[in-house]
Amino acid sequence: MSKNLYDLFSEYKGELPEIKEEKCDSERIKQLVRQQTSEKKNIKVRRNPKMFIISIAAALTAVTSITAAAYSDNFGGFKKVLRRTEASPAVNSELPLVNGSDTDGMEDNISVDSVAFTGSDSVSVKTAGMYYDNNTFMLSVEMKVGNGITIPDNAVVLPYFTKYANGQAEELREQSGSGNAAKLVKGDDAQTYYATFYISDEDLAGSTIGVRLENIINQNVVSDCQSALVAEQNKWHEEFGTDSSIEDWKAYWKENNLDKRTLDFMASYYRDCDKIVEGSWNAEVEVPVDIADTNTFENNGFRVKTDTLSITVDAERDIPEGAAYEPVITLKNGDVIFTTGTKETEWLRENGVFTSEDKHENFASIYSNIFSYSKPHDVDDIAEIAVYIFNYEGAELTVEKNLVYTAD
Amino acid sequence: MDDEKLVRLLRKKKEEALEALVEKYSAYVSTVARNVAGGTLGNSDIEEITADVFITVWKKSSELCADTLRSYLAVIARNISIDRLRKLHYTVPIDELEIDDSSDVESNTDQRLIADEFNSVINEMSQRDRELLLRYYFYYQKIPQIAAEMSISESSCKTGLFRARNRLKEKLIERGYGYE
Repeated sequence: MSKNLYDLFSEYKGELPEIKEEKCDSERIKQLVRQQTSEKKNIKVRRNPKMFIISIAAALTAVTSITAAAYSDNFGGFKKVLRRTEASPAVNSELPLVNGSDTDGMEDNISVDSVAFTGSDSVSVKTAGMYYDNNTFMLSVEMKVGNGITIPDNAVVLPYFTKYANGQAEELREQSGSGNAAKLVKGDDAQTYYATFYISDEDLAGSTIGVRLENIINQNVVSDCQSALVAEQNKWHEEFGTDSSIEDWKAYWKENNLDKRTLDFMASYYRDCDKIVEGSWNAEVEVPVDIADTNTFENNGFRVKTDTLSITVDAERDIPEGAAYEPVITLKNGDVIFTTGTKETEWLRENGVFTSEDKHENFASIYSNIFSYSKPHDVDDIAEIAVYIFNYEGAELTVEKNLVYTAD
Repeated sequence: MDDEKLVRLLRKKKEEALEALVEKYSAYVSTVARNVAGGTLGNSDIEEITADVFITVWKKSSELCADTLRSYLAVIARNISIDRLRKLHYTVPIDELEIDDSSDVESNTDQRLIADEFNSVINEMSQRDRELLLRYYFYYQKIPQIAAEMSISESSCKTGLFRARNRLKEKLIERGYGYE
């Protein structure tokens, strides 16, 4: 069995080191605490993840087309780069390829052709390897800086991704990876650096991913940008009025499109900041259409799409405010796949849906409604897919099992 | 107000003590939550988590102890933040430790036993190793942050963390745990 070191440290009961405390709005927190203590019932509110997906009509220009190629001898090099670099945003180490597991049968999901990016001459950029399935795209790049350019230890590059599919262009933001600074890791010589990026989005098969890398900057600039953004958002909150309820503030945020103002603020900050190397580098990646052998199951108000590497769960029914849902997959050999470590799955375990004796597998990565496996699974091996709804409204937790698929 | 008095009044459900607790510890609690969130949650989410921590402490005030109040707040802040991230389906950092199935420990892999063993192992480590590991795995601090707060270079922080992790591994193996 395995334990997550981060989880083990939650068991730590001794003295903790002093940490540098950041300022916070303690009056605002007091107000939130007062609101809750004055309520008879304490209803947990689940916020929907911020969706920073913005449709744009612009097309990238001067790009190089990369056609997915078959597995080649460069695979070892790609794995070496993956081991050196930390994918941005951080990925679960159990993901296929990242976890170093057997990759037999995954040749169609990996491309190690070296393709050059177009853009500023100061740095030449080419792909060092790509991994893709229907919901996941991971790209390692090699960046060679020109003579005379010194890259400090804490340098990062800002990636931006655009998905082109069905005549539409979508800029993939936030958790999907755009704007998540990736650290540059030194290669074998003073001029060579590597970085790895990771994005999740639905239905990547058959789409084209536009990749734009912008400016090499100091990691501290990213932290400063985050601090400046927090101060700016506090200002918006004060303008709105700090006496109002959270729900009113959320509604105000939506009505006034503060997501866009947030993105604009960050874009402006990065445009004006000090740069180690100023430039932009572009490429396009075609994700093959045949990587996805997707099966769709619909039942009890849920639509579940599953392929060999992930499942996507969409609720077609109304989910009560404050409720959460979790999928549980049972394989024909008795193994169970679910999210470990949440209150919800602990409830399932305590209530005998599965036991600690059951052989289980954690979803390797969860992005919004996409759950990735840690190793490929044949859809034919699935015995049952159920989605459990956990409703926290009222004094008692109620749990409802929704059977979405069961094998004959 | 000192922690002893705070705890005494919190146990008596005095609301002024709750206000004083928020005043004294809100910056600490929100810093822990912000570290765990690693930039994925906005300011209002962090404020909500921080408020939830104090509400939890208020509900469990009978369990409070003045000596461990600060650590107790940190543990709750950490757990609530992780819960929130998982609920929003953000990826939570994972660094897997394999416990050897063939070891004698298999039959005793009760959570509490592992936790007790783990605490004992951590307490045997040097102060520096313990601090590096706690900052990284408990507080979710990043390397540059740890380096700055411990006044060491980033490279020595990385090396120190790598070695501390290895020493943790060795100690766990000594206790009969496999590790990968």
